[in-house]
Amino acid sequence: MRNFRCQIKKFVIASFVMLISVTAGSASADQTIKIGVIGPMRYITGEHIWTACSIAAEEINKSGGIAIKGKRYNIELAKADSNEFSSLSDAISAMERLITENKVDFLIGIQFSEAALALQEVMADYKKIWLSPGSSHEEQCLRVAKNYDRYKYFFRCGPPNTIFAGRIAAHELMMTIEKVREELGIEKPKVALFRQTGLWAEANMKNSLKDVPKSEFTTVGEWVVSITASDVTAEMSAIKAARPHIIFSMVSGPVGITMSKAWGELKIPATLIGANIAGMSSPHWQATNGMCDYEATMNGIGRVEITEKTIPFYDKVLERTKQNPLYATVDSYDAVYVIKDAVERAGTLETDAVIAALEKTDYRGAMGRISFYPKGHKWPHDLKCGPGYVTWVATQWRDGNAGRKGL
Amino acid sequence: MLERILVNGLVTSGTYAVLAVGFSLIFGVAKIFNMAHTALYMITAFLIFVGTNQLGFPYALSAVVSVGATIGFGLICYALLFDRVKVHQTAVMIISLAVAMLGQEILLLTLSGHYRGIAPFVTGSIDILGVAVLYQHLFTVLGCLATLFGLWALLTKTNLGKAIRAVAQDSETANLMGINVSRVCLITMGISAGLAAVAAVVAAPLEPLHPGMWMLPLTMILAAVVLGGLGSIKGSVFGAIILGFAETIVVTAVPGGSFLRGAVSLAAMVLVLIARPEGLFGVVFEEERL
Repeated sequence: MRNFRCQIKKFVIASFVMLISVTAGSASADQTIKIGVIGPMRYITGEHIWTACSIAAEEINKSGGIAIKGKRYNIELAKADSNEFSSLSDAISAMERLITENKVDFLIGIQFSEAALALQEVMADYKKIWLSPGSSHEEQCLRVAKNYDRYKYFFRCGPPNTIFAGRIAAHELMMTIEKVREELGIEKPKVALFRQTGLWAEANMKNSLKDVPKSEFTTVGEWVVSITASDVTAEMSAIKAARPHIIFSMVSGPVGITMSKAWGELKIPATLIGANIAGMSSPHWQATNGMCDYEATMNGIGRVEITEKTIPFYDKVLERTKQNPLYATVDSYDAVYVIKDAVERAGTLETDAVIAALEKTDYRGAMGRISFYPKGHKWPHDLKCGPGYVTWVATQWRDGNAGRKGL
Repeated sequence: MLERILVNGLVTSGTYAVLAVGFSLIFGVAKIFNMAHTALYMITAFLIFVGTNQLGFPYALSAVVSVGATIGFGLICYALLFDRVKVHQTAVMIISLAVAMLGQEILLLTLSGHYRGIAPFVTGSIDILGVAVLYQHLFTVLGCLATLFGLWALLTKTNLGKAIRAVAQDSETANLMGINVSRVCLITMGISAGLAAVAAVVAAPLEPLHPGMWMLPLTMILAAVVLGGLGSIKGSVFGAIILGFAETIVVTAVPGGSFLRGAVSLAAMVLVLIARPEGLFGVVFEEERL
């Protein structure tokens, strides 16, 4: 009996100790800000969004976390695979899980514009602040303009929307035209237009060509291929026969690999420029067997000093992943810091106060000076682009490296 | 323009033909509608990639090992899964689709969704009739022709070929004549898997490798097989040629609409089927099979 009482006492003491530990645990959880990171985690963009957020969170936590009215908060990340390439409903479930089960305070992520548009409804229903680092369709911010109260939680932390992206590509085209004129003495270079189907490519191509005077070049034709075309040799050999000096591309899917491969294999004597999303990442070299050598593409980051933070961040990603960062990588990295900056200025985690602080963001990140268009603008909460803000760079493949030297 | 259509059309048709023939063969003999056929093509491509890029083996060695492994995998699938339910064609279709999707998910988990590439067996290009043709494309066309010729020789000049054709024409009578039908079906599955693997050996260096790469060719070979007539090898070859050339004509003649290549060739299939529902070489009587 005595032994039994002794065991009961031990049990009570142990339960008490456990209760104290659990309470202490929840006390430390109060000192945490949770950020939900969502993206296609089995694909390169998702991996990079996660890596970038992890690097930023580690740096912030190491330097004392986020300060709110004298209290220090550490960042804790929660990861969710959107599987957005296969299923939009998976992406919706993943975001809902982050909000309802992981109880995150903020959201960062998503690559596809189509997925971003669907997830804006989830964000609005749960009133959760979301910084998007991957999608570029202007409709997302037009929604904020049309129904501010419902969609005010959305901020685009990159890439530039399709209107700006078109202008950036136009600069790249103009720069190349001038180079051809200067070095080859061809007054009006011939340009072949190569793009995939879909809103993004069509809008970008249209916007780019609008910004380059027609008197500057001659178009030899426009080739429009499917985003999943597994072989475009027929198209590229037709382009070769048209003898252009420049091939101006606008591709985002696997067709970017087949395009670069065919261009290199056929040794087409025309410079390949434009926007090739696949061409921005390190695996492109292997995927094209080095056929992308000398291909140039507009890009969110190169190993150039856009700001003093760019090269250290670039090198950190390179060291950790053995790959150069993508545009979504630097956008996600900066997004974590933008949240820190806004929360510290707001002095609270209260949603409306943080939104007000985010609207006044003026943060110097690794991609450039980050600021959002205010309420009342045509694209409220969209990333400000242009001289003095984010301008992007152009990078060129040389000997297995992309963007180690920006153009 | 005609030269370009001729050269590029042959390349596209050749790959479709080898894949479609493999699909048609196992359907004709064992009545297995193998939706995992192009997944076998994908598996071979990834095995070659692992062999050449990660283990550093030469292309030829990687290709031989990969073809062997794919045939082995095909035989295991047949013995463990398809053979047990082959009398229920819908069940076979669903099971084979599940196998393909499982393969896709396993590749995503183990190698992630990065796009990858296999170095071409031969690099560079040559001008034929004024058209720049990649050596790899020539290799693909010749490889496909050699494979199709080899298959024809096997089916028409060997006892095994006769047995396969007998089972395809009437498996019950073939059984009564002393042919081991189960064994012939198993061997045919091996040949069919081997054809998918050979298609990968000759054509995979032309396209980016990713775990979803089995879907698009599956649509095209299904179209080629239906167009040619289910179960008819000759029909599959002609179906593949028609679809391959229809795609190339669209790409060459309407550059701004080359994304419609798949849709136009499928529309061509629909038109043929309206005129001849059993397909070009459709089997009206069982003895016509193969």
